Amino acid sequence: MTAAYLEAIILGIVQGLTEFLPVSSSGHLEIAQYLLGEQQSIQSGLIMTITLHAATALSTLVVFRKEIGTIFRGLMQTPWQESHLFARNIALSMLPAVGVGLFYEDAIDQLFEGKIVLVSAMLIVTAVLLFLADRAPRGNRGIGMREAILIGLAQMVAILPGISRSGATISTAVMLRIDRETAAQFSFLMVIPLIFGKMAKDLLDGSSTAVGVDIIPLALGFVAAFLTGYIACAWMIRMVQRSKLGYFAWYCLLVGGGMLLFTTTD
Amino acid sequence: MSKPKVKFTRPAAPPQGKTVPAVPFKQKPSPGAIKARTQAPPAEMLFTRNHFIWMGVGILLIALGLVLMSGGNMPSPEVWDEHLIYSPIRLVVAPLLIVAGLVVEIFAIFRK
Repeated sequence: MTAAYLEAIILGIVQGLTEFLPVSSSGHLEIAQYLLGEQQSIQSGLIMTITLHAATALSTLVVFRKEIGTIFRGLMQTPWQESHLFARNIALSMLPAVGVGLFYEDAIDQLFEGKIVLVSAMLIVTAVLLFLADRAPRGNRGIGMREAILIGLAQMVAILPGISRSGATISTAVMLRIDRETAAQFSFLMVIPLIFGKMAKDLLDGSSTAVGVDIIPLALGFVAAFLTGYIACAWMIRMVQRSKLGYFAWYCLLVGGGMLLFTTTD
Repeated sequence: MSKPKVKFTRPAAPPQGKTVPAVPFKQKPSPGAIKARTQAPPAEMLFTRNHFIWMGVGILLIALGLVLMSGGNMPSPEVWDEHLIYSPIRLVVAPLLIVAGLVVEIFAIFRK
């Protein structure tokens, strides 16, 4: 097995885990680049990024196959019912992140340029959010328009490197006293249209090329990300239900705090 | 194939002066019951053969798109041919094929 194949499998596993577990994939990528001192060793090109995101998005679809199927069947029926309200809430929750992504793309890109202190501080913020969610009393509320917008704002803030998207959205939902299982489902479902939309944009605007791309590493990365993502997604739902987010909070606190100490004493 | 051996034991006698709930002696299971127990119904598969065929079609479309998207290198450093890089096949057809492949994959997942 060549190094390229091994790298693709590792990238797939990392993407599969960090897409669902609340530890911030972008934050870890920035830290790895800072520690390794090489940009190219971690970034493996746009086409690999698209492939890995496609794998985790498809694994989410498989995990929530029945739920999404029910929603789509409900959307075909009249009059308005629960499925329509759920779809409306998903659309509302996407608006803040879509707005920031479209109008502040350059400003966001600047945040991903070796700002290691910012990343470390945001990892600590993620840890605090997870601690709060872990200790929040259990609720049984559903998701309405107000909750959808607030969770969407949390997703927008999670564009910052170091803030975990799943961590921020699930924590916000849990603190709004939303049922924990519903919170986890909504968090993973709300990002699917965004991922597929971004993938379609990247593919169709001509910015992605496959010059020098070997299909085997892409396939290996896809399979690794899909399988890991499938397991991590199902695992994360159980962790949220059982209030076990504290482990991830400690992890984020250790990594964020450790990096802050490392950079200030360096 | 030999029949599985079933061990039958008589429950220990209750201590004197104490009452215990009545436990019926184990009955020898009938051969049919043993067969039914050993041949448990197979676990329900998430996807069927039909799903995998559609998934294969999606993968083929994506692979074809990637193959068409590849290339674009100049034959030598002295040559500059715009058509090699900005060809409609690489910029339009190939991405559309990949997106179509993804749509087929989603269809395959949700197909009944």
